[in-house]
Amino acid sequence: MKRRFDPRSQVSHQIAHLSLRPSTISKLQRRGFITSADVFASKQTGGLSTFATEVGLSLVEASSIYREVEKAVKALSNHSQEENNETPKTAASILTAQYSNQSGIVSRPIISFAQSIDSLLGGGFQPNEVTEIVGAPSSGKTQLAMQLCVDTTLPKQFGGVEGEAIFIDTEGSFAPDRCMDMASALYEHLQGSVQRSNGKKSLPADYCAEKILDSIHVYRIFDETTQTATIRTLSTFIENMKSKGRFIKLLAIDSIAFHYRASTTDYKSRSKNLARTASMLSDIASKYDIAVVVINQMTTKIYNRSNDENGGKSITDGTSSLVPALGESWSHAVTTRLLLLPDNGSLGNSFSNDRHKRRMCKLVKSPHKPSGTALFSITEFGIRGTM
Amino acid sequence: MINDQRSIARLPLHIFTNLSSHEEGENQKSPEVLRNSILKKLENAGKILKKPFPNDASINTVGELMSLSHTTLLRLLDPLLISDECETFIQRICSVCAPEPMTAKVLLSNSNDGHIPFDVHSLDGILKGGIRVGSITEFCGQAGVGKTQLALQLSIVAARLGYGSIFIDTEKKLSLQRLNEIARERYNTKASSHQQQFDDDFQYSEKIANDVDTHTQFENYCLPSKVLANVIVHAPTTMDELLGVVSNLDEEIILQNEEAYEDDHDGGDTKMPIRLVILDSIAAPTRRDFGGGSAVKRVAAIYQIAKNLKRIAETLGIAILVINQIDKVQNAASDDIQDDEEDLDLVSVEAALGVSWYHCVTTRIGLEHDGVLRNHNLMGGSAIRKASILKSNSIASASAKYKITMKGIEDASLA
Repeated sequence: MKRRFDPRSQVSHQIAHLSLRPSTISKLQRRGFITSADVFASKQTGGLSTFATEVGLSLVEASSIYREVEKAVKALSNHSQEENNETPKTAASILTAQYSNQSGIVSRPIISFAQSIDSLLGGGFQPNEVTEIVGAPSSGKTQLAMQLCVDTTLPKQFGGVEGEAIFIDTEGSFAPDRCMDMASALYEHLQGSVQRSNGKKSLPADYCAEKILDSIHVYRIFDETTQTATIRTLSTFIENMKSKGRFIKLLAIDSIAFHYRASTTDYKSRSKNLARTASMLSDIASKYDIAVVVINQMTTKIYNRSNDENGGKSITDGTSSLVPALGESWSHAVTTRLLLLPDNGSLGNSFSNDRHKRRMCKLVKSPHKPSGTALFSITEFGIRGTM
Repeated sequence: MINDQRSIARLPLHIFTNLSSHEEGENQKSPEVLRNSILKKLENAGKILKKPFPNDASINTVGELMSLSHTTLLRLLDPLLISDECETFIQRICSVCAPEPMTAKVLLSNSNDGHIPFDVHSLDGILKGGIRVGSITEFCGQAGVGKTQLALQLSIVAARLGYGSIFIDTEKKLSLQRLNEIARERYNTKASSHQQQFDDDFQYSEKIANDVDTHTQFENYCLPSKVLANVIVHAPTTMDELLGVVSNLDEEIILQNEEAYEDDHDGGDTKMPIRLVILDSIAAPTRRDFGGGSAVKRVAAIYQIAKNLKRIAETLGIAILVINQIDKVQNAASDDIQDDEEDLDLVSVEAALGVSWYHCVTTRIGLEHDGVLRNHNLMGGSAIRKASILKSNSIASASAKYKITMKGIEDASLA
């Protein structure tokens, strides 16, 4: 609910804490204005001219400063207004809200077509969350992401979210022909289901493999700046689609790591950038009720011989292991982490002649479900569970 | 679209229009004036803000601008823009820099990329046509298994189809005599028998037959010299040189293709458009330079090469073949590893070539000697080798057997 901005009823803020230009802050503080209430009171009592006199500026400049302070306070109060308008949230009310949002569309997870994986995740890839898929090369990450894009279009009658997907392709790994295979397989599977239901279920009239592919929006990006810029413009794209009645339900990024690893900027600025990106993705997930799926690469961590505090040498030295790329702080930023492995469960030798058909995935981090493993395979139809 | 180094000065003017609306009346700056004021502040970042910038810091590119936090930008541009105007400024830049999305449906109908075959039935079979145009394919395996031979054969087949190639030789292993020999032995003699053989060989790849007017090409053809005239060779020795070659590739290819299309088919020195780039190998320069820089920089360099090659492959329609020597991820758990920076460096480079680079390639084919016969007699020897698909985003695992003869690479499954 929008109320007319009334300065008198606002909580007073310290000038120094508002998001103002430094020159504005110093102009105000120099003339004795410490809080936003001081500013508003000045104009309230004697109008703009009094404020201008007090702050020692021309009318025009004073007006500009006043509006800047107003905007800054408004921005802050909007946040708290949203929280204060509602009654205090109980866990029960949040849970109920999660299962149905305002437009009546149920917030279902996106399924992967491999029941084992979906059970592991508590139903599928959850909306309102950032799920990371990480694994060694050729473990099936891109395949899983493409399968999820296809599955996003699954009609509600069949347990799906009937939505569209965004695929941010940073490595050129999106294969439209393979996607078509998956889409055709899904379509045929659904048709079979319709037939078996004896008229109880039906597919939307224009639903077909091509329509599925038409619902997957691919951004091909070639460097880090473009990646960040694209993520920042997603809100606009999603809103645009919404206004046309097309709902984005999945955002997949394959892979988030590639361009960061290609740049030689120091780890500090990379961490900051990643943190900002993680926060943007989290915002998109919750604002639009989207399942955000982020693919990460592996890197080799080599353990140095280290001296412990007592001056002795540590025993573990020179060994290496594969760990998710992008560092520790990124690991904390993702909500859920799914690790894809080859079937023998080890991450070791990557030159293996038998590309096992059976693969394993491991849930290593989740706020909802316990750790566990699931088997799956990659067939000509896409991702499927194994017998 | 590449935006890392994009200059802020040349961004569209509309970004600066009505940006500083907090000013009123005559105080409102025109977009040009506002832009220049903003540019000036950004250029002098180091002088304006002592922290976090070093003294000579200057922000000129979009990449640098985007890495600033909101507060830093607000302080830097003071008093030009207020808080939400800074936000708007960045948002407008992002809109300009972000690409338009394409639906998978459109991508599918646009992809007429095709393949470059090896002219080896079993191998082309498992690859569904050959090396895919528009992505990076990697061969890895031990020494002597035939990686360079496969690469040579590929450039010859490409020439037969009317395409030139660029061979980046980092190991000084390119044997022009051998190239000549394969071209001659494989496709030698008279026109008529040539034609028949040509048709037989290419039965399974109809797409390519439609691609090129084989009959006309064919009549004016004198293969070995044609090949040699259309394989451009670069021989960088260090990582820096390699980075240089790779970053100039797009310009080189575009120039070459322009000359090719201007040529008449006079049968003389016909230049052919480039459709294949071979890097033999990625391992040599990466290993060679170690000790002179940090492993982090070298991993980043590997990624830079991958980035550039991918971009060229996709935007110019090129098939890229990279040869790697890794056949095992080195497990560094060895007693020989001293507590020495150089050795840890070596280990991490090996690992990088094993795992990090592996992430970068779209398709990886592992080559190995088949069975017990490890016959080092390359020419004339008939030791069987096996090629297996280890990584692909669109074809299933499979393997094929081949052998190396005077004619180059030949099928071994029939044996």
